[in-house]
Amino acid sequence: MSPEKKTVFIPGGSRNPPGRLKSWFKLCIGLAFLLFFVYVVGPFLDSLPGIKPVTDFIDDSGINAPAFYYTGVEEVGDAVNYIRNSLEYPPNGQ
Amino acid sequence: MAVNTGAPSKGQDYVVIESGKTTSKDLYTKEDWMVIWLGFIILIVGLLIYGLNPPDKMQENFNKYNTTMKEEAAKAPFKTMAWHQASDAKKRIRGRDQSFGKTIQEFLNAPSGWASNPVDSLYRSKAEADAMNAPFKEAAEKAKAAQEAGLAKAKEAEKAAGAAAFKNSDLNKKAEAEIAAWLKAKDAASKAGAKVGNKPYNRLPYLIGTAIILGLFFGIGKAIMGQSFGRFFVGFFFVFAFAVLSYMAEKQATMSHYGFGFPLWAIIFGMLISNTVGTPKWVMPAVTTEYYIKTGLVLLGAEILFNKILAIGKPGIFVAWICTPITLILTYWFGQRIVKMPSKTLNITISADMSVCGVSAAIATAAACRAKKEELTLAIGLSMVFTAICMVGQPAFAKLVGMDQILAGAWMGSTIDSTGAVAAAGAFYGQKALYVAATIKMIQNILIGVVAFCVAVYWCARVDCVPGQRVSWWEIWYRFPKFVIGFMLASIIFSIIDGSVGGDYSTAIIDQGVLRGWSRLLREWFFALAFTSIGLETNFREFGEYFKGGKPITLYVFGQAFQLCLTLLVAYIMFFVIFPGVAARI
Repeated sequence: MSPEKKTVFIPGGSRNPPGRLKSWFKLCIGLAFLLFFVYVVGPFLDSLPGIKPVTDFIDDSGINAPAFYYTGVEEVGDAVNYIRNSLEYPPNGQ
Repeated sequence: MAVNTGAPSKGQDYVVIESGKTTSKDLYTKEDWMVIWLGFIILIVGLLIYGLNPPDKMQENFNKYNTTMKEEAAKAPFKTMAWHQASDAKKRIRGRDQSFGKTIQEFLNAPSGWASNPVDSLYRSKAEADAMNAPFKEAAEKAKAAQEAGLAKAKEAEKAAGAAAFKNSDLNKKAEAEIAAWLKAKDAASKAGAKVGNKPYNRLPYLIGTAIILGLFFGIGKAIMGQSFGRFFVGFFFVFAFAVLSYMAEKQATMSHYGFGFPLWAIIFGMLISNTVGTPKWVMPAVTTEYYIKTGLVLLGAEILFNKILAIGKPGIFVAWICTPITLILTYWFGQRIVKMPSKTLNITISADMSVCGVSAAIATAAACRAKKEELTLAIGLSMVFTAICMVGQPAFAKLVGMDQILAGAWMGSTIDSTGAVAAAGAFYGQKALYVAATIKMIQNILIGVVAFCVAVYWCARVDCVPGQRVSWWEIWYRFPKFVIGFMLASIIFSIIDGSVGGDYSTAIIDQGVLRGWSRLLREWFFALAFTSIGLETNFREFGEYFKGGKPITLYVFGQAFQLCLTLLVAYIMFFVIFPGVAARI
């Protein structure tokens, strides 16, 4: 039985000229795919019913939807300020 | 099987590595210690900048607004206009809004938003800015007029209620409704105003300046550790350029509203290069994932302020700090016993990412358990896709069943992964839902400090050892990822400062100064550099091994489904059965 062939990953890429050409071709394909995703798939998803109202709202409100921690979202600061004031100074009878 | 044994042979496969015994020389030659020094230098500089330069008459103004709210709260059974104005004025007292804070942000901010032309994120002329503002001028003026009309009506209604000494319930209700309408009109006017507030800019000089400063900063650290400054500095600009590209992709309008952030783009761009034309050799000295990620994590530690867990009272602690660990432990158990995940580190990274707070939890946990880069990448990819789905789906479901705003906010805040998506989903559902969702998410964010620490200890004591072996405390210390000490120390020190200076002062100087106006901006650049580095040294084919049988997706779906049900139940019990007073006050 012949030993299993294993591809070794070289972050430096291929060194021979035909290999280099193929690599650049792959890069162009990858970039084309990304552009397709950004300019075609994304807007198509926006047009789907149920999604558009949410995405339009996010665009209008300016909320930083990709922010992953609370310090990256302005609205968290506003919310904490409002809730703290509401709990510390609740209107008479609440 | 891709289990990390604690003695990795292929260094570049792991997010973080720590091995060998500790000596005093390690304090300046080992990366884990160096990142602590670098992180603390940044934090100390931030404290000096903002701590020594508070906004003018800060304490005087806080006292004034607090007195107003106290008096107004005693006067009427609802939040009066003066109460809202004082609350609003308080939030505008921020360290980072001073001129030096704005200059810092000008340097460190990410590129700007754009829709169709990527160049717009780096440069905008005055003519372009004017052209962008022109179509919205009329709408902005109308919104302003509506706000003024709302203000007049609210004033009148409140005056009528006041004339009856706030004893007439019909007049009180009318005043409350008019005030709510005025607040809504004010919010609309503010959003309309933002659309005519486009200004010209040129981000390039600032980005070049930031690249040079960060290159020097990290390069000096490398030199102290005995590595080549020059080779690092040259390669750094390539990595930085791709970090800029990843930010630009995040800021594209469509990608931004789906929440596809820079970590995902940095990995994609990096992998696109490394798996096609290849990462140039001269860049490799600057492709140092661990160095950037660990420095970023030390800075993230400062953002973990433990006093914030009380921000919404006891129900918030139960929803965020009880449901989340239960979900985390159960999901991890499910992954090991039922799904039989190929790797424990992948299992815990996905479990933490899904149950705690997405990307930030994934980074901290992956670093604490020394997960592989591919595992972190996979967890982040899953999180971003599911976050986009939940951000659209959860408010829609809440609307369908007519869920209460407070309940919906608590539910979304605890179950949607990323904070930005939580704010978007909450705001879409309503103002109160936004306030509760954002606050619950912030409380949950704080949990990552505890999770990262527990995972690091558990991995050193239990996972990274031979079955049946008893590990001594010294051995745990040797194996313990030391940068976690910096991460925890930053959290403890900043929590003590936050607690000792008082809520208002801390908000203005620590949260809205040192953190949001300094360390957070740098921390995000460090993560962008780290994720670019991950991409630049990751083989696309290695992902196949982790996706076998769709196990990560099964794990994620199970955990998320459990969390959605558990959180809804606990939030209802906490806000409407045990502590109904908190919901009433909001």
